[in-house]
Amino acid sequence: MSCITSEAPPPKPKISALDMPDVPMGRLPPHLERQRTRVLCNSDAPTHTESVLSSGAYASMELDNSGLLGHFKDNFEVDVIRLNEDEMEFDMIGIDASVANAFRRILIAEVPTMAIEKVLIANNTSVVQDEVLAHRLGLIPIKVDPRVFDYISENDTPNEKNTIVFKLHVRCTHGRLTVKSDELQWLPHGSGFLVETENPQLIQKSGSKTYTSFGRSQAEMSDFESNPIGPKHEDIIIAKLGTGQEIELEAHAVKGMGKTHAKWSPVATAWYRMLPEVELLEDVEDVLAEELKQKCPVKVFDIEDTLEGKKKAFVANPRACTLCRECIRGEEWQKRVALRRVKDHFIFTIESTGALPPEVLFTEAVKILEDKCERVLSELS
Amino acid sequence: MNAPDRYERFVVPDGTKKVSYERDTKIINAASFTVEREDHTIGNILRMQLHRDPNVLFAGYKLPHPLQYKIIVRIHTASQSSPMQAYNQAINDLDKELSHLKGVFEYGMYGRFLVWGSGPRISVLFVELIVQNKPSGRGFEAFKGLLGESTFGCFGSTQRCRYYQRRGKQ
Repeated sequence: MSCITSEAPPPKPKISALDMPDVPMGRLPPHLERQRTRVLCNSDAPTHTESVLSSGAYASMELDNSGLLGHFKDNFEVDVIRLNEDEMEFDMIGIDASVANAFRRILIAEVPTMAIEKVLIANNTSVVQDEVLAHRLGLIPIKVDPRVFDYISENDTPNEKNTIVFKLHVRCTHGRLTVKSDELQWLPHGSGFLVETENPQLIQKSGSKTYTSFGRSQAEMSDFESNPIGPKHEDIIIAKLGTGQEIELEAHAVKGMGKTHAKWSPVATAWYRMLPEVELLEDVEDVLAEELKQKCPVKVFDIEDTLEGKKKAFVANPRACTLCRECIRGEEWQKRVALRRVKDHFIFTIESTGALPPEVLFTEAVKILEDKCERVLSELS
Repeated sequence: MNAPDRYERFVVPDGTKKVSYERDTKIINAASFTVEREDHTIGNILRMQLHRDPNVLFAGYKLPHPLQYKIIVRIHTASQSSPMQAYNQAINDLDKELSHLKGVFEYGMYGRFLVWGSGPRISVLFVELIVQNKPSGRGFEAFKGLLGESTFGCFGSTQRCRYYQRRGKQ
């Protein structure tokens, strides 16, 4: 390896502090603006992750931070990127991390759904134990709008406004039978099982009672006339039966929240990430450009041809960046590539389990947060 | 075995108030608010909004124990304002921001296609002009005012008018 002799770098001219240019008042210099609005994702740990909220943060620069934080109404935007029946990806620009997190927490735990809670088992001769079977039934997502139903408490009788009744009666006659969720039949008239009493006179007087008291059939209710209630997916395996084994049970579904049990969570999951920003601090050319393009597993970088015929790397798709930090591995690469995140731009993804479509879920989450705020305010004596 | 019931996380028992307030005897303009059956969801948001208030000198929240479902919010203000005032102001501002957020989100979802009328005489208006502009608070309010609240409201209930694809993007 040939050693290139070089002279010592020329001494930098000394400038007196009095001759230096003034710090611009009333405006943030670019490095402070970057600290305020971006998370710097270095190779060891991210820095400047907290949001600068207080209005006196830049008082020494004679700059009122409340002006920068703004006017939520002027800066806030929503962009929907992708929307299917079950899944949605959208951007929210201009909110703070705490609000984004609040929505995520509410979507996972506080938007109510219907799920099977009580299982009345008349006969279970399968190898799946009663409690395991009941647990599995509870986790099956039910395709029904929970806003139509009311909550049920311990003292309430189950009626058509707070309970959905399903029946499962399967018997395996020969071989192996896989019991799938399409075997769950909806009973719009309520429970079919009679409550056993030891007193025969009671039965004679008031007639035999079932476990639910439906005033009218749920099939008559306008929401369910054309779309019957059932599980969202027809092919969920509940149990497997051998020859001669039978399952006969009735399942009651009630309204609940994810906070009580995860079966009532309306989202498969909901998550957010901040918008990544990738910047090339120096020109990356030729061999290095190829190397950079190869490094990135999600193809953030691409190569373009410059006018002089050289190949230069540029950032093609920063949104795809997963922050794997491959591109800043090594001392020299850290000087060439800067990875950052924009602090107020959140990319939300909501995957619904099917009870409600994802956009309705988000609107419900906002309503729930508004209700919470109101409760916290109004209940202060 | 010792875990509290899950409904304890959100059901306020009889006799306890949801929010209680304790002034600090040693420091002026300082108070602690104890909010029962709440967690980081509301605590962090409240703290964030309190920080934005120029009169607030100190604002923080904590959960004293993860199995006791309450938060304590501590606020110190300058002499121009009181902790009670700061708390009320913060929540009112949050309420307004959330309703604005809901409006912009609904506009972003449904604003492109608008259903006029209801029942058998439904017609769909393609609101291309407004799509070109960025949906801002003022624009959205003006838009709703143009067409009337009731028209916008009847959109949500018509199942077949849920158009998903945004023009030009997947």
